[in-house]
Amino acid sequence: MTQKNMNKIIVDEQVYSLNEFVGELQILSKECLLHLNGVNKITKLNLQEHSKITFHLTNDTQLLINDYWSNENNNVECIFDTDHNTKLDMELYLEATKDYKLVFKNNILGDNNKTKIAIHALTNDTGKIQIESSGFIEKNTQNNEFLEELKGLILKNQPITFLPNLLVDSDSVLANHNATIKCIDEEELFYLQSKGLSRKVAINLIKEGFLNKLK
Amino acid sequence: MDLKIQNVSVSIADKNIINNFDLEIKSGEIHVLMGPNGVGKSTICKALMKSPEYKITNGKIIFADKDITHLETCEISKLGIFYISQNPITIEGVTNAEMLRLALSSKTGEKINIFDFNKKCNEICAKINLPKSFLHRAINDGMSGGERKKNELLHLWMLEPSFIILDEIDSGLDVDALKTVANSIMEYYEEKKPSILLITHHTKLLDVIKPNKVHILKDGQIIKSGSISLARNIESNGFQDLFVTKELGDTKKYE
Repeated sequence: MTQKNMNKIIVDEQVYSLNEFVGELQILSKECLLHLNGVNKITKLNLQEHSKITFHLTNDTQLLINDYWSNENNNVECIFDTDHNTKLDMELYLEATKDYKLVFKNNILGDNNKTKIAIHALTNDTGKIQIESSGFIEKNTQNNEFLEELKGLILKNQPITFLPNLLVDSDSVLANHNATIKCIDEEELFYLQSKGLSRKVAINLIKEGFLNKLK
Repeated sequence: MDLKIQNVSVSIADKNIINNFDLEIKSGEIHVLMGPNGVGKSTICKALMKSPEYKITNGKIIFADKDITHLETCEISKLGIFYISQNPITIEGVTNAEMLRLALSSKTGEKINIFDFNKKCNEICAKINLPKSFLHRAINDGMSGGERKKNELLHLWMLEPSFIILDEIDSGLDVDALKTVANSIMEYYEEKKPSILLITHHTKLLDVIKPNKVHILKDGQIIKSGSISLARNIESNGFQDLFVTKELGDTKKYE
């Protein structure tokens, strides 16, 4: 039974429709197909472990996801299927307090879609991260944009693995993806220390900045 | 406050760059280091600030009667030494305001009053003609060369150091931006009377920031010191004459 209140929906079904929703979305089913309509903004996403969720963006739909995960949703697969004239903007900030294995699949099935995926992933000494992120642009589709940026920051000893994949089967698309992983930059630390911050405070500040917590 | 660099040698990755370097800058004095590229000017600045790659292998650095040779960068900064590099770096996601709030709190050891902090930030932005929105932008992110230098001036005015190291602050600045930056530094100098160690290749900056002494470096050593006329002479004639004379053994040119 799906429960709703002003800012939160708990979905316990395998197929569900969301229309002009802003707030927290919790999905209890292990497999779920969500049909989205209108402008939707998900501020918090809670999924079951080993779940597979398909977000179907119907014509003219917008979906914005801006979320921070630290110990939730650590082993999930999210699929985004877009019809026509949709906009998907996902900003995900990930701080591993345990192992993460995530799969994101973007299937651009129609025309005039804009998809932007930005993931900042950070590891310390408490868990590793693996993210497989793919974009598939369907044959004969027109005028689509697909931008994907994966950034990783390793603070201590736990690794980050990105598996970006872009499959373009159309001639009318602007597609771009990049992935970078780095350790903490000594030059950045020196800069902040030269302003009077201790090394510990400087590392924490860089971490908070990377996870977008300072805005 | 006085700075004394005594017999200091600096190496990078076990290669000696500076050998037995001496320099004394008295409180409120402005000193300029000039010299061709690669003679060790920036090395001295970075070694002073204890940049991790630069190792002081010999000698002492005394600031305000305190031996700072083995202090950490943040401790040196908290004593009042402020460093602006020629290419201030970007720090993604870290706003000026957040960094300055932490830096001030670290310097004073007290919690910052946010209203006083905001008031001071706004006053300084107006003073250096920097949009207030820069306070909430990531440090130097997406900023032009001139904006980066102004952004560093924001940090300077907020942190109120007593000793300023300016490593080619004029690099990459157009005529107007150079004037703005130089005037702001001089305004700070008139108000707070800090000591300044300035590195430059051009005398344009020295038309505004008037030095007490100009030093010429070669191979990590000061080979000649003088007044601003020495800098003007070098701008007209280059370093070659000076270096040839030195190689012939005419060390009497030292002042």
